[in-house]
Amino acid sequence: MNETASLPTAETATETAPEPLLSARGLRRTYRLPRRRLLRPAPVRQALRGVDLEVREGGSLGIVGESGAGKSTLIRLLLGLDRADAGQVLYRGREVAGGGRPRDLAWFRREVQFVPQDPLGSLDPRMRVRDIVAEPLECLADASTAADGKAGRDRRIDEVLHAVGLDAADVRRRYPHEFSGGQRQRIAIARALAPRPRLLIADEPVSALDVSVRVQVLDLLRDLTARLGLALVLVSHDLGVVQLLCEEVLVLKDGRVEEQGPAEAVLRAPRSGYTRELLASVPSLAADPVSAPRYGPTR
Amino acid sequence: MSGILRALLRHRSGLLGLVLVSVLVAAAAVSWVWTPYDPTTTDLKARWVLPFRDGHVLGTDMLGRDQLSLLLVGARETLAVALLATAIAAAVGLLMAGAAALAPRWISASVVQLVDVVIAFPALLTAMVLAAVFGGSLWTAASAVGIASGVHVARVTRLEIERVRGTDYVLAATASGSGTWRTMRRHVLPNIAPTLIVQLSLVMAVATLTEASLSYLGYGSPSPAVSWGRMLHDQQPYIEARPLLVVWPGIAVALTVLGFNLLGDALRDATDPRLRGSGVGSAAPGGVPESAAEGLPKHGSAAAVPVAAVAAPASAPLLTVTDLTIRVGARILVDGVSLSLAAGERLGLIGESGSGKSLTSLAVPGLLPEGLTASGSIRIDGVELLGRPERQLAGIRGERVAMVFQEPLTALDPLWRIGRQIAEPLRLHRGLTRRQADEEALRLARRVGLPDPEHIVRAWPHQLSGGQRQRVGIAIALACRPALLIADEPTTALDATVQREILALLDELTREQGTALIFVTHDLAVVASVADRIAVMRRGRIVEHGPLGEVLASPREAYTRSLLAAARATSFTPSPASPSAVPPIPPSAPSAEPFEPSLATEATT
Repeated sequence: MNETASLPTAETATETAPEPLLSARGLRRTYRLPRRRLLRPAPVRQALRGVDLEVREGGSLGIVGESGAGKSTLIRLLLGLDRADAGQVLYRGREVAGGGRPRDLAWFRREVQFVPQDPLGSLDPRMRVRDIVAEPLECLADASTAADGKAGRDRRIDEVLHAVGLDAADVRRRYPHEFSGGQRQRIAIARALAPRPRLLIADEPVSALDVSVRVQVLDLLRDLTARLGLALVLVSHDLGVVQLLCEEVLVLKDGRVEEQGPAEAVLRAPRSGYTRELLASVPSLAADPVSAPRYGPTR
Repeated sequence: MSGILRALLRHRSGLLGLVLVSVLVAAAAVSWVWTPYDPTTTDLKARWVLPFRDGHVLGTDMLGRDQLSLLLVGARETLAVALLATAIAAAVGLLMAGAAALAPRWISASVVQLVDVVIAFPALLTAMVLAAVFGGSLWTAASAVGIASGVHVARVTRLEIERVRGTDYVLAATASGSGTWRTMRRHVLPNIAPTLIVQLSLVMAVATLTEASLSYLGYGSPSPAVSWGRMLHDQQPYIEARPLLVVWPGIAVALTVLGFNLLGDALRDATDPRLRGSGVGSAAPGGVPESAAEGLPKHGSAAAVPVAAVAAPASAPLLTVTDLTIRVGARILVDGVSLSLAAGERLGLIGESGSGKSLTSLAVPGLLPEGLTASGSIRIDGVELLGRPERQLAGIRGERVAMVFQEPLTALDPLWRIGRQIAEPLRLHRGLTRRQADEEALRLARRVGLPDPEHIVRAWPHQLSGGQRQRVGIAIALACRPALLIADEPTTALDATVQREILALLDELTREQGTALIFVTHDLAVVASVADRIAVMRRGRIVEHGPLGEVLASPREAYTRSLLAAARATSFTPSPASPSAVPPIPPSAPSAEPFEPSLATEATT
């Protein structure tokens, strides 16, 4: 794996201050809905009603919830793509002011990158793989990386494409539609890795993929985060995925944190009734199918 | 750039458009240096010369002017008006659309209002007023068309900008640190370009027509100027005696408009890498997932489905599918599938995307998409369904075979109240009166567990949650007590807790009514909770088929084994003894046989 030699290794991650890498305090976000009556105030929907969370350097947090729980809103706030009505997002103790000018957050984006859900929709159909992966490098170039110039950038593109298991020489000049779903998600991961981030925020990274490809992409994510010492925030409705990749779990319901703690504890002995219901709802594929639970009548 | 040109040349109508526009440009260019005769010189001795006489290829008009020379010189005016109008329209359109999309709210709101007002002004009338005030010229025609079309372009462009800004790749770009202007330049502009190109080519066509109309009406460029519209105008009084003279400028205008339109459409396609083939010049795409079926042999061999015969149940089957093959063109999507299902039996049809599981299930009630052809045999109660006219199939659907779809919102008509949607099949198939059907619908709504059924039958689909909509879908499907229910990924779009309830409901109702079930899904864990028997599909064939417990416990095929391993590796295990009990994911593909063929052989494709 000499092609990844220049990627930062896990060793660098250990010598850090005890403060959390990413934290959120009292996040609230309310959306205004379309007006029903002309003279009445517009109705509102409270997407988040005070969410706190913490991710340590090299740690991994899984955010679980059903549709409407506020997962997407939380992701937007954690990524600084939107401004919270109340509360703060802090990265290494510094406030991440979302919704402002993109340049003001360049420092944050160099460290925190995003792996979106739909690997086809998140890649510009009119850009070649090379340009897609180069995008964060171009946008986030600072004094230290600007000196590398185009050659350095190309080298970095090849590096990250290798790191996600793609043949750089072959894929560089291709367009997204020429790849399968799993390969596209690899490209999206390569794009996120390009600026040497310390934290990946992944929004349902495998839910659009076939089960056999899912294993490969999860395997890749687990391998990369371990090898590079990356912290991971993973949003998913799939408890199996969270169980596989995350040390900590946060259960979100109706914009509030329902339960939070080490994955093993939350998934094995949930304290909240909602979490228990959620766990019980997952159809399981026991190794012994005869003992697999079948659903009885609902009522 | 050369790639775009090459794609344009491969495009048949694009080539025609390119030729037509090139001829126009060439005519305009040639007319500067050479015309057969001086187009403005009148020669009263040579009036009404017929074509191909005395060196006048297209003849002469009432003043003895050479028609070909007039046409050549007239092309200049047409081209100039078209280009000028398009430039103005592009500038006006992009500026207004940009302002409407990016500026602060009050500016964008006023721009949108302004666009709506200006759009109500007819361009031709505006041009005539302008010409009346400022005198007819190339400029009045071009600016009238340019501004009027520009507003149309602005409207369409704004919507396109909004669409592209809402895509995931723009979100991803923002998360990558791309600024507003950079995103506009790198993502938004290239992706709205196709629409813009078509719009602007339409402006060119409209400008050509408007110039001709204006000149014809006498509002065009003043006398010494030559244009096609002016030729029409001059010859109008003699149209009965010399109809041929109107034909030449008429053909010129028509061909030019056609040329602009064809070229615009072709340019739109040629600038799209998805339609242009591979970016590296090879036409074969590397790993398009749908291409999985391409490698199939032309004829399905019976040896591919040896298990089919084994699984035939003892009692007379309700459904028998024999050697079902579905093709689109020469491509085989489903390859010789054979299935049988006894009354009340429950079959899980498992497969990944592109395996043909959904097509197989759609073929049974004859719901294959347009362009796909099915061969083989599908029998229900021993009656052949394939090749039956639509009328007879419609009678069988709903009554004997019903379907539940993945996306309950799109499967319901948004303009029908819930109760009416449930009642419809009852009136259609069981001939109930409206009142009886409504009562039965209410009973069904209650039976599928919809909350507050008296009110919900009066509600609209959009007012229901996803789970409630799927309950409605099940109520509709089971309304006529069909013998066979086909459920295509009915819980994939639902949350886990809702999924559980819907699965339990399906389970309960099909048992109660003795309905046979084909449950199509990619999720082995889901199928394990509803099916008695499963069939695993891959690349259009059934690779394994057998009782649920047997297949799950001791799968015969390597593919099924690896599918199970993958599903177990990623599925949630309720109470692991310790975290290390989670089976480790094998480093590469879970089996020797890779699922993503293009991934493993990446370098060679």
